[in-house]
Amino acid sequence: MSVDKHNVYMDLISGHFDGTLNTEEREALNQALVDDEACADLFAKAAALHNRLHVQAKDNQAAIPEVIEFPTAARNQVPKMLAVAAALLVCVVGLVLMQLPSQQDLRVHIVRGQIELDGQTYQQGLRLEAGQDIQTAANSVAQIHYPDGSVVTLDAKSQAHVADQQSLSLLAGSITCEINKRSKANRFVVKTSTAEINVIGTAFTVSNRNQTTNVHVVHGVVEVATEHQTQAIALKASDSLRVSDSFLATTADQSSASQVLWSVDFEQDTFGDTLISGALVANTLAPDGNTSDFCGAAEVQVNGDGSLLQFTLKNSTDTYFNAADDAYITFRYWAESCGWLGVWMAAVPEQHYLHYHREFIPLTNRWVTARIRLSDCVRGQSKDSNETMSPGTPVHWFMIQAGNLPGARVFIDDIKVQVPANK
Amino acid sequence: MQDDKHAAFMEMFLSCQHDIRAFVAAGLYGWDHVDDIMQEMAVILWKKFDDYDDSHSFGAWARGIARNLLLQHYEKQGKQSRLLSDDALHAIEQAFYRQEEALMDRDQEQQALHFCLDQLSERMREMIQLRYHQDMGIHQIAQQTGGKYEAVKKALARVRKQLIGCCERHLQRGEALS
Repeated sequence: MSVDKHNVYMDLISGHFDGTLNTEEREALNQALVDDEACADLFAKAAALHNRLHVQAKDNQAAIPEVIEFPTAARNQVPKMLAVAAALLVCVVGLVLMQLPSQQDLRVHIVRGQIELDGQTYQQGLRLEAGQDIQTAANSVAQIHYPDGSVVTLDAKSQAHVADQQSLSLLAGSITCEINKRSKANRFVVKTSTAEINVIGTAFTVSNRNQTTNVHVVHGVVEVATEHQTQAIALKASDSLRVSDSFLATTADQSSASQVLWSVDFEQDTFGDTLISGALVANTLAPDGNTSDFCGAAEVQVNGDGSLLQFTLKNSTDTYFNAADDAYITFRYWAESCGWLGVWMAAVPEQHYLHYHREFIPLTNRWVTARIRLSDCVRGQSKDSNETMSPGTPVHWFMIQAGNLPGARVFIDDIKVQVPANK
Repeated sequence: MQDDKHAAFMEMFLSCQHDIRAFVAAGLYGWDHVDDIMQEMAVILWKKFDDYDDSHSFGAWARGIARNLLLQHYEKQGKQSRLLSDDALHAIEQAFYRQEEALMDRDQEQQALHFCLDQLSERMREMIQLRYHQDMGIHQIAQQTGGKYEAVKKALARVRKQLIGCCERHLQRGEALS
């Protein structure tokens, strides 16, 4: 194929994937695909690339970031030298100097690439002042060294506002924090758009992308406060949490003061009136091999007939919540591969496309507690009904649905509809 | 027995799911419906797995079903959603089949892509970041980078061409060395 022809084809194919072709160009592309095998081959290669780039971007957004290893020598030496210098200073000049603003001791180390402080390109060795924003470019990594030896590492394309030595707001991207033991009064706080993470001494990662925060604890304990919970959630080593405005999923134990409007525990309840479809698994071995934790759960096998798990609210009670309540649905799930799960609800049974929320399944192959704010369920497209769910409409029906690779399993248990106790 | 069947299915499906998704995505603009069609297709493949003739390519069988789902999608969504004619879809299906025959190790392909992304200039990398990671359209990228619409369009075509060429060269080199 000539270079010119190759370029013409590539322009058309690229335009196809970017949605920029006009009618004439689209016809030309369709014709070239049929007439010239070389064009179709190039199209298939471009399509494979297009898909790979998208999958890679999606994986980056969904994944809990891995802990980044940095040379320990560089990390340890600088704080130690600073600590020695600080100690000498204290001895010589006396306690008065301890009143100096401690923010002056924050130092930034460029591991690689370029960083900016308040929009200005940063030079190695300068100080970071309280109130400044620090931002890393693509393929760039920077570290903030604190006087007590704690280190916060900013991954590429991340931005943080450093309020002072005790707190940092992660505006975008991801960070790894290695915080040395501190007193409660000096605890370190990381804030994101959807969570506040309180640290006494631990190592953990946080990312904040698309209004969703991911936290993963390597060692120690952190407390995460979100709008979803009245009490903070304690994350221990290897626990993870993902939170957006409307969704929360965590491997940690949770407890919060709430009023339970409706619940299903497959260990104790009878399901005849509740479970519409899906299979009940009783007295089975838990996916994690722990029998004591798993005496009954509803299982979805996404391979056709059993692919949906549906429930109705019990008709015998007056505890219907309504669309205006600050209600949540919570449930535990175990998913064996990535996919999605969602909640559909409606004022009339079976017209389930009315309001829904769908979420990519985070944290697979572990028991995860998921929490979805029902008032954030958006109105879907219903072909069957013109019914609306204005605030105050009682919800009579809802469904939990999970999608996965065929044959992969999802288990769901402990389903509750709750409102905060103070409501 | 059922377990064996399931294991065989999963192995085949996982080995070509990227190709199938690429084929489905090729027939649509944007990503909104891609995973829905993949989900629907996966269920159909499993249900019809007993009909699958294993002397033929699983990928080709799956793409045939994906093509039918794409055509159904066009019908549901109306004329405007139809990006590719029946004949063009068929030609692309054949091209995917040829590509499948020259199949490389998928991990190697992924490594090649990583290598080639690293070779891109900062500006080119930014284009890819904005287009795929931020899911921006051409107008938004032009606004963000201060470039012109036509220039961004051309730049994306160039960077795709560059990445395809680089990945091919990288994989050929790897093959020659092994």
